[in-house]
Amino acid sequence: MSPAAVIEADELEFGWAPDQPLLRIERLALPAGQRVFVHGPSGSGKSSLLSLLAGVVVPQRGSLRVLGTEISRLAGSARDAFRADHFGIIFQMFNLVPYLSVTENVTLPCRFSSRRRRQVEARGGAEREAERLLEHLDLSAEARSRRAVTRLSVGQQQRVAAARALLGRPEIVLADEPTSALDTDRREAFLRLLFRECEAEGATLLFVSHDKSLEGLFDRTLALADLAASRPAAPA
Amino acid sequence: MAILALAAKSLLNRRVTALLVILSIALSVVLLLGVERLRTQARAAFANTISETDLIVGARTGATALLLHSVFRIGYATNNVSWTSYQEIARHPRVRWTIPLSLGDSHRGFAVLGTSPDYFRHYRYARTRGLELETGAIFDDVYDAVLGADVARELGYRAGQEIVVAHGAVDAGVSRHDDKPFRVVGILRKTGTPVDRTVHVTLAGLEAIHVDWQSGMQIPAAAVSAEAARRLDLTPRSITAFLIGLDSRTAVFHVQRFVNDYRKEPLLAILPGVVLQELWDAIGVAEQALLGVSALVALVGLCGMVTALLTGLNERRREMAVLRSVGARPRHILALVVGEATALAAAGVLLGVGLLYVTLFVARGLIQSRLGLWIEIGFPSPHEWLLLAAVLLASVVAGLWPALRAYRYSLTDGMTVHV
Amino acid sequence: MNPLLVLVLVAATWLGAPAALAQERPEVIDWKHLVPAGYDPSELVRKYQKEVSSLPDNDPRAARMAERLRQAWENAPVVQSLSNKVVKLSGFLVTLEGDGKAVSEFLLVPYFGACIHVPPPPSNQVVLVRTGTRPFKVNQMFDMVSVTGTLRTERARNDLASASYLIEATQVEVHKP
Repeated sequence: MSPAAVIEADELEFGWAPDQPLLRIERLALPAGQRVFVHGPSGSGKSSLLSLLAGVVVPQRGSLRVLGTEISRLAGSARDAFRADHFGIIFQMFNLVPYLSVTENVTLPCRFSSRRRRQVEARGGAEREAERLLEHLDLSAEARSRRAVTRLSVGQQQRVAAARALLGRPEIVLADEPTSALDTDRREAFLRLLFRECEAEGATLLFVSHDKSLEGLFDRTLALADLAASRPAAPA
Repeated sequence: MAILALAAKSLLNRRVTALLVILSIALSVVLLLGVERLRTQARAAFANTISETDLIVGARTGATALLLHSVFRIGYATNNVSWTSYQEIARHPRVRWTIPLSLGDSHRGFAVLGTSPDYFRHYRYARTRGLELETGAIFDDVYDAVLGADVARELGYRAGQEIVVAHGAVDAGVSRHDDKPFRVVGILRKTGTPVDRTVHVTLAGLEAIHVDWQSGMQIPAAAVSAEAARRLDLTPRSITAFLIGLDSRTAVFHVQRFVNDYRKEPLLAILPGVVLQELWDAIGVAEQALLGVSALVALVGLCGMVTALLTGLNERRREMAVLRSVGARPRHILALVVGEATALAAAGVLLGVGLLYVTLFVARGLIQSRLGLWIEIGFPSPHEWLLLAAVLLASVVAGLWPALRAYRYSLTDGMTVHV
Repeated sequence: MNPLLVLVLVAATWLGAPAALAQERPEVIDWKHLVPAGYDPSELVRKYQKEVSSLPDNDPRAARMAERLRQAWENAPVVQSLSNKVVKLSGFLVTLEGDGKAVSEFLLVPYFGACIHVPPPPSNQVVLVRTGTRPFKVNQMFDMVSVTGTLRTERARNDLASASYLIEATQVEVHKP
């Protein structure tokens, strides 16, 4: 067990219905800074895995340690606070709150996490940090200042979501098919930007996708088939 | 505070719906407060109109009718009191003072009242206040007139002015006593009662202007000049009603009995306090009904708000999942929706109060000339504050319904995408 | 100790003590206590009823009898010994001064509807009540109320009439049977 593991799971079992486990993980250890590609067809439990790791739901059995903390034993609001402090999350689409501006969307985590607020304050304030990240993610100044986020293109919206996920240096970034709504030629560009920023912040990236073509860009692959509860048990 | 800012921005995003909800709440506030204010001010005005008067005596009509037309100048007298009866009753040993009243004529929309100087000496309103002169003196000569404050102000009259009285209650320019004008000798200070809207003349003066009139018209052949009329015996033959003050208030039942049993003429003596109280009791039912209607209107406004919030919830589940993903707890979601309800209600209440004041400013002149009621525009009374607080509280409580639903959604949805 | 505090405490006790002493228990009285012993107008009423029943309606003698009765009624004597006592009396309220919500001056009478009964109550059975600075909130005019306060006998301004009762009320409450 590497002391640098940000996520460790042992004998983990999880299912939405009590007697129907969906995921069974005997052993998982992810070190810091790793880029992990989580692969599986739609409906195989990718979102469930992310919900589990982010502490939205608790496993029925086993242990799940994130950054050394046993989150399966935390109360609901403690898990929410933990998630706020240590996770950045990017969805497939509709990532943004429609009535907030670009900057306000990016700085949202600071409203709910004091740790991330402190991090941005150390770097000159939430707005400046947001600006910096948006610039790094190749969002033009015009796009940055635009008031209605709903007017941005999907690609621009995804990059805003990425900036939000990275603001305040969360240790783990969870991305649930963030490129599936993008054009093929934009996918790689988005990924490169995401990788660069994750590396700069030292964040661990868990990238869920059904698109195998992106696998090569990552450090490691996690096949959901290997995590499914329905898979044949490994020989003892 | 962050949540309230989010709530405000969320509402701004749904501007049209929010404005409609705010408007409906505002209108219900206008109704609630407006009714309340009119009600209390009308009551106070009525209650303060006459004090320290033990009995009002008139022809045997109805108690309420007598009170209304003798004191409030509402309605008309169908019969009069003969002068001899009045004199005899005034001589009763327990009677300390009387004020004779003769009504029927008017001047440019204001009632003309024939009375004696005792009116200015003994009339009381608002418990202890008597009538005071702003300028001039009370009448002395047959053709003298003393004006109420509003008459002088609205018609721009000053002491020394000559005015012509019309025959009957409506001054339409015809049927005027223009051969015998009155002269303004005094103007009274404002009282907030129907006194302000009355032209006071002597009983003799009223007799003089009618001396050559018969059945409502002047007989040209029998015309008598103003000067000639002076020299006639101008003792009135009858008056409309009179007020009585006794030497002891406990004697009121006896004198009332004396007047009601008076055999020479059918008369009615009433205790103004009792008749007013009966009036309140009857009106009170209507007031409660009106308040009930206003409360229902407010409820309708709140239903609109709850509907607006509830129907928006489904579309907002995505937004809430996003908020959950950046660390919002379910209670933050609850607070967000409650915050929206509170913001809507607060805006509605503020707008409502503003609209009310504007309406009052604009309409109070009209209300005064039609109803004789002057609406004070000051800060809301404690009771009105209570009504506003009740509306606000009810809105917050109503907002809990969509808020709890949003809370449950956010719990079950977690971060799952519901596109 | 703070001298100002001492002063305030002393003043409070000094002012409070007499008030506490003056707080006597009100004497609960009935309407009959307002009638002097020995005064019995019922004799007159009986005589009136007996004689009037045999006369036709318009007979002037009936009118004269009624007049005599009325005079007796209007000038009924008061009980002087009750003057300045703190009493509690229950009866019905007849509004004199009020604003519809609260009454500041009223007459207290022994029975309901004194203004419509013939004859009205004798003058020593009608009490003028003043509520001073705290008007009484009236729900129904014909509630029975209990009035607590200092009873006074007032001379009428007209010397020919006898005195009447007045209560300066400290408390007026709806009577609970």
